[in-house]
This record gives sequence, structure tokens and C-alpha cells, in this order.
Amino acid sequence: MLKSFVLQMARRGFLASSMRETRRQKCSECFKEVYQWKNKDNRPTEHCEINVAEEAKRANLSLETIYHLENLSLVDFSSGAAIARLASAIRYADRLKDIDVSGVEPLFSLLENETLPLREDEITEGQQKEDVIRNAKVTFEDFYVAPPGNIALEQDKKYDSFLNNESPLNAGQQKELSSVELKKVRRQA
Amino acid sequence: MATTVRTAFVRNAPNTRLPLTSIAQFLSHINQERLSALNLIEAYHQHVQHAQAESNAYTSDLTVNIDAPQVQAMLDGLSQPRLMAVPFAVKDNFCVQENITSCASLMLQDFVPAYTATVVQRLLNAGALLVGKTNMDEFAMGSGSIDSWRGAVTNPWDTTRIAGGSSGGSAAAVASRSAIFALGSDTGGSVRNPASYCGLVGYKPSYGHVSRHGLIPLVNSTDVPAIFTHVVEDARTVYDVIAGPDAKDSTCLTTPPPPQRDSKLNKVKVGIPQELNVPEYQPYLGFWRSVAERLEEHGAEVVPVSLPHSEYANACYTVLCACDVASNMARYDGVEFGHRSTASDVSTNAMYAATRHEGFNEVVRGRILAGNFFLLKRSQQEYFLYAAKVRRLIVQDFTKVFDKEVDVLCMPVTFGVAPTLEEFKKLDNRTQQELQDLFTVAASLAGLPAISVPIAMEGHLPVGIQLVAPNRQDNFLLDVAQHVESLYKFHEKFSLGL
Repeated sequence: MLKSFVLQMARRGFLASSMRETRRQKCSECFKEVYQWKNKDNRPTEHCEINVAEEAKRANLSLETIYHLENLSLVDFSSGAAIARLASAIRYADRLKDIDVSGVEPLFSLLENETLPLREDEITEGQQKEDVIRNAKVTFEDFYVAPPGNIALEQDKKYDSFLNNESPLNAGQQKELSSVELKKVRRQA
Repeated sequence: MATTVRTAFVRNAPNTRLPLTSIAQFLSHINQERLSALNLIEAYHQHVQHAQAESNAYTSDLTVNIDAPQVQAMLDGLSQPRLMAVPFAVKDNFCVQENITSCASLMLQDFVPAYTATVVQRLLNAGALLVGKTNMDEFAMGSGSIDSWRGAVTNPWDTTRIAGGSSGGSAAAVASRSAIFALGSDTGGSVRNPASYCGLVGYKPSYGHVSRHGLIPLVNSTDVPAIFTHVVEDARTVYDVIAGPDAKDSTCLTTPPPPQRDSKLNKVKVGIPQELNVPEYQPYLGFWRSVAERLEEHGAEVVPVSLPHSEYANACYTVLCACDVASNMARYDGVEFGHRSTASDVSTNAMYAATRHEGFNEVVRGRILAGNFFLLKRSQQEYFLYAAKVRRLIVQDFTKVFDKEVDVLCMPVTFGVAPTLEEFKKLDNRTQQELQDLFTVAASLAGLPAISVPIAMEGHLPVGIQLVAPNRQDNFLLDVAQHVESLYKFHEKFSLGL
């Protein structure tokens, strides 16, 4: 019985040769390949949070900036992986700094040397109110309807643990929806 | 016409015998056969359904909208427009009146425009028949057409592989012969890339030559409506129909193009950009050298040229694209059109945020956030303005090379053949774009006409070569592309067994 117990433990990777019992899988958050114990819920746990903090530091991305960007864009990152992706985009853009641009004017339009045509201020078409307004989900008597304005967006501080590198979130305590699950939900829709 | 067709891939094709390959072949076929309009429309419908089932190429099947009496009049010879009854498809970011235009996104899943894009209207006026709107990367952000709310597009040559992006659906539609030509939008390579992966001609005209009215914008200063066909001659025909001034798009030039350069092969000087011709890439780019050699054999002068800033073109595009996206996507707030969230009505900001979280996928949201980062007061100087200056240097590189050294540049479109879906998904959308756009983005930033011509098969998959011409030398480029096409005769030698 002891022998079978030992064999069982060996198979489960509790001995020195237990490296065979790890699995090479991809972190669902940051897409890096990691060696993970074959635990039953198969989620890489502490790996990602630590990575996000590093990436953000390398790209000089502070927590304050993250929340500020969400406020400006009115979209959310929704996962640590998204923060890491922004950090990697910033570091990719940093390559431009190798180039000397002194004395160079920025180019905003390829047509900067052309004279663009203007037209007379004459009404040539229109009368399409129905076609236009039917695209709005909520209307009232030909008015568009919006909720009250001038109220700041309430932001829940969900990235503090990522970037302050506190005790990492474990698998059980995940935030609302990881990017992978969100994709699945949307595909099914 | 007798052609040798080596069947690369045999499938369960629809039961019809329409040669939807080139306009000339198609027109001569319908002139010979006495077809009825209803049979023709039914045949188109079957082709579209087949392409949809095989490759997920379409977001909507518009064969039901085709006006049978109008088609019958054309078949009876009562009217003979230039593109009579030719079936075509357009990417789902071109507005078509009274039909859903979704950009493959939940945000616009039931958006019905009140107008039709100019280029689409011109094609309809020329007698062509719109058979469907095609699938794409959401809001044209991506290089594989896998990040679509409607699911990934697969390559008709091998459905375990990507079709390329972001106009993958249009490429799959033409490659699987459900349409003779299709429109896509090329902002950083989005038509040339899938053209190479799907064995088609992918032609991006000069910026400013084709109206963008009705094309939902991604990067306003590089977007160009672009064309997929099987042969260069058809690309020229379609271009002639859609190009030209438009009162509704003031970035569509009214001045005529300059005199075109001499396009006879023995008068043409071809440049090979050296910065991209590096040893690390050689295993993937063997065909590049063989194209250069064949051009030389046929009389062209082939010389190495230097585009010193071309290796930074991708980084420059990353910044400028994100900035334009941050601005262009600001209009989606759920109030006037598009998806509107019911999760929160506490305030406009809360509703906007919920709408945009639900309506956009990760890629779009990521780019908006990146764009707003590059536009922050503290980053504007070092990112946005810096990238705009680098863009000028890239344009100057091309101008110098075309003024003094060569007439046309020859380089790859992609690193070889289409990768599998699995392989492609290993990198996230943005990182993948660093590889996919490497050869195509510089021509977009400079607004130059560029074309991908299919040349060979590697195994069971096609690959193409890219030609880039000086600004506004579109007819010259098409001539040279036709010469290259005739050296390889890809379209005659290889085809999907349909």
C-alpha cells in the first residue's frame, strides 16, 4: 500500500522527477508561456500580476495614468493583460527616439501642398430625418435622449493590486471577467 | 479560352458553372449563354452561401436585394453598362444605404446608413451587382481578420489558415469565386496582405485618388479604398470606374495626375530596398530574389536602394494609427446610433463607458487607450509629434529614391504564406501587426500606389510580390504589374478546384 501511495505521489509530481508533471501552457492573461503545475483549475496564478507591474514600470506607466486614460477614453482596460499590451506598445513606439528629427516639420496630411476643392453652400440633398433618427436606440419626439451629464465617471480601483505589487490575486478572486471569457461571451452573442 | 488549371484544392463547389474569375471571361460567358436573370441571381446566391460556409467570408448576403428586371434588361442587351451583371462584394466598413453596415462589430450590429459610399455607388451605376458585405477585423484593426465579432475568416486555400487582414473577407470572397472583384480598405496593408495570402491581385491606389466618402475611417490620412481581383486588367477596370473627384470628399484630388513614366520593362528601373533585405528574413523571402532575377532577365535594371527610415515605419504607424483611432472612435457613445448599453443610466459618462465596453472588442479598446496615451499633454511631443516628423522623413526617403534612382520598388508583401490560425493567435493583435505590416506600411504612410501580384505557390498556398510606384503614378504601376503578372501567369496556372 505504501508502494502504491509512493507511485501515486510520483505520478502527481511530488518527487524530484516531478518536472515531468508540469505543463507548458500559455497564461491566459499575458500570453507568455509558463511552466505550471498540473493543478486542477489549470490557471496560471501569480505569474501575470508580477509581469504586469514590471511591464508598466519599464514603460513608465503609473497607476494614475492608467485611471486617467480610462477616464479620458471612456473605455476600460478590463485586465492586466491589456495594461501589459499598452506598455509593450509604448516601448515599441520608443524605438522612434533613435531617429534625429531636429529641423523636421511634422507631416499631418499627404495633401498639404494641394488646394482642396470647396463647394458652394447650397443644399443639394437631405430630408432624411427618419433614416437618420431610426438608428438611435432611445428617442423621444424626434429628440435624442441622454442620461444626465456633468457627472464624473465612478472608477473602481481594480488595478491597485496589479501595479502596487501587493499580494497577488489568486485564481478564486478574479475580477469580473477576464479577457478570454469576455471574448467567449461576445462570440456566443 | 483554354487554360491549364492545376487544381490545388478540390471542394464541394456549388452546382453552377459561372466562371467568376475575370471580367472578360465572365462577360463573354454570359454573352454566349442565354441566361435568365433569376438563374444568374440564384447562382450568385449559391456561391455566396458556399463561401460563407467554407470561409466565413461574409457578414451579409445581399443577393436577395438584386433587382431581377434590371438584370434581365442587361442580359437582353437593352443596356450595356461597363460592368454589366458582374458580381462584387465590399468590406463591411463601406456604407450601403438601407443595409446593415457593421464593421464586424457589436457596436454597429444594427446600424443602417442613410447613404451609400461613393465608390460603391459608382460600381452600381456601372451595372455591377453587389452580392454581399464581407467579414473583416473589427473596425479594420488587425492583420488576420480573426478579431471579428462574427468570427474569424479562414483562407479558402486551406481553412486551417488565416485569410490575412483586415480585409480578409473580401479576399476570401474573391478567392472562393463568389465575386469577381471586391473592395477592401487599405490603411497599413489591409488589402495587400490578404491578397498575398489568398493568391489575388490586391491594388491600393494613390492616396487622394479614390473617394473615401462612406468608408468608415480608421486613419484618415492613410485610408484608401482598394481592390481585389484575379487579374491586373480587372483591377485597372474597377479603378477606372471608382477613381476620380467627388464633391462629397474634399480629400479626393481634382487635379489630374502627372505624366506617367515609361512602363516598358527594358526602360524600367526596379529598386530593392536594402534595409528589409536582411539575413534574418532570407529563409522566408526566397521568392524575392527570384523575382528580381526574372525581371533582370527580361530587361529591367534592378538596383539596390536605401530607405533608411523604413524600418521605423511600423513604429511610426503604431503611434499615428492609435491617435487617429482615439479620435475616430469617440463618436461611438450609444446616443445617436449604434449599440447602447442598458447597464447604466446614471450619467452620460457611465452610459458611454458601459456602451463602449460592451460594443468594442479588446483590440479596439486597447488602441483607443494607446492613442489617448500618445496624445496626453506630456506625451504629445515625444510620441505623436515625433511620429509625425518621422513620417515626413519616410516620405522624403521615397521621394529621393524615386526622383533620382528608380521607377518602381519591388519587395515582399508578407513573410511567405499564410500562417495557421493557431500560430497567428500566439501573438496578440498589436504584436502580430509588427510582423504582418512590416513590408506594407511604409507605402501607406507615404500615400504611394502599391500592388500585390500573386506569383507562386509554396506547397499548397499562394504568395505574392509587392510593387510600389511614385506618387500618383497609378497607370504606370498597373502597367508594370501587368508585365510581372505575365512573367508568372499565376492565375492561369493555379486555381482552387472550383
